[in-house]
Amino acid sequence: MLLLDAFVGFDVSSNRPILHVDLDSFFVGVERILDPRLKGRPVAVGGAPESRGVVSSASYEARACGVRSGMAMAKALRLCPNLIRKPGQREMYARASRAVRRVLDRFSPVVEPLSVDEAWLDLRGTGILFGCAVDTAERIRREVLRSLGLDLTVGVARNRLVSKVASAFAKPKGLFEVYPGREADFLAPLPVRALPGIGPATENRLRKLGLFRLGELAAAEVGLLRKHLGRSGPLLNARALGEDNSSVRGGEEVNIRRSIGHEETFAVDIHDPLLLKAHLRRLLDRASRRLRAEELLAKKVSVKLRWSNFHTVTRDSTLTRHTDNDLELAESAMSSFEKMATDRPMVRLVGIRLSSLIRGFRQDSFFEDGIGRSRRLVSAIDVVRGRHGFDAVKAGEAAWLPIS
Amino acid sequence: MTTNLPWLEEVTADAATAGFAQDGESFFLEIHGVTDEKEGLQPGDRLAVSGGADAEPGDMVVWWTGKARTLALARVSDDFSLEGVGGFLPPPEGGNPLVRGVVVGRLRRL
Repeated sequence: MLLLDAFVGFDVSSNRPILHVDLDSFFVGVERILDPRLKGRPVAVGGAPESRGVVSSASYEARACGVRSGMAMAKALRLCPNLIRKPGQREMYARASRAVRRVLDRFSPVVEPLSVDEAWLDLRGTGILFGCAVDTAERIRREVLRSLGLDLTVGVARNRLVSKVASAFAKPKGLFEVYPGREADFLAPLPVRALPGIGPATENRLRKLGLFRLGELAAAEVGLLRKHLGRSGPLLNARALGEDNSSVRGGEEVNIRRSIGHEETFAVDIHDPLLLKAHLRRLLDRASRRLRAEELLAKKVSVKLRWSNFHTVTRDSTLTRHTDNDLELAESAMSSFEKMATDRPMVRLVGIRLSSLIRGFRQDSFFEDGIGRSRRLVSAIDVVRGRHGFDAVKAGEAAWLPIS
Repeated sequence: MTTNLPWLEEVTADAATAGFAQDGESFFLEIHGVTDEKEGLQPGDRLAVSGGADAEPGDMVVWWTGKARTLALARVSDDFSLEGVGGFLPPPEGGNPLVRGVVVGRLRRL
């Protein structure tokens, strides 16, 4: 009877129960483990206000004062004068993330990390061990809290997309289960921004079409959406209906990170395009060096610019092949930058992100002497930087940067 | 002797869930006096109810009798009759139940 119960309802394989586990205010949670005096107090992790740092994680006490992730730390301190700022300890967060991952691995063989504080679990076939998806979610929550002292929220649904919306819905310390077959009804009343992938720009375009809620987006005529949103129009329409056939990627695939990126917020806004390109090139060199260190290749390069008025734009470019070569990646990034930076005033932040990653290292063709040479050059630069520090070599546009 | 009678309370959404209840048709109900392992229901669970959705066999729905205005949970059977769930009685014969909405999800604070 017990075995039979385990296979009833959500745990039938065809229903594909998926959990989206999202740690609550993760960086703050880790800081509180390291310093329990922070418990119950407004805390934000992020850069110093003097260097125009931003909030990367805020406790719920800080959020009650209006502090949000991505907000300038100076503004956060104005909103919440007794805010405790912690500069952040990446290595500690990475260690905590790996510890959480070890707990998650006990509950499913298919775990896909989405970021340092989020992961999907495919629970197909695990019901016989742990019961239904909701029971499993509660056990994970208890185990992470007991063994690591971290709070989390879980979304339960039939697919990755809806499970992610569900966890955002249940934050903090919550669990939301979307009943199978009712995904579209769950999403329908929500604002379009609730759907992952819809940012301010797309939201604005949808608003102009009179589409404010996901139910309206789901009911919109696909031809109209294609006309105004291009290829993403029909995709957004399907997603608004809660449709997502993507799989949770486990095993070797999940050991590959989704992206590598770096951002820099300037102490003083910059207008000079040469200087901006120099900073961009240095960020790209840092990212591509990490790419090579982890034996990964990237195919997509995204450049991010934030103007002085906080308006943020991102431009993606996709290469014809995967690469870890600085020169190829830089050419793509600089081309994107040129298209973005026309007639724009002051820039507050630049960022670079390399994605569409696969494992491997570039095998040079016998006939591509130029690339072969540039690859040897990049390898030599890596060696020099390894011995003498990253800024020992300034490549390409980065040569414009002053010696630090 | 005391008996826990099941009842449902309409509750306001919090900051995270506010978007769901802003269309005027969808709302949240908090469960009291119900522990139903088969349905996975516990006291304090909040049900997200869509007032605009059409009920189908197998769905959990919220219904009331127009007269008493008392909300109850039921599951729609294959012949579209309502069967009581979580200790809630089914509608009385000839009771003319009105379905207020379909339960689309459940929120539990951990």
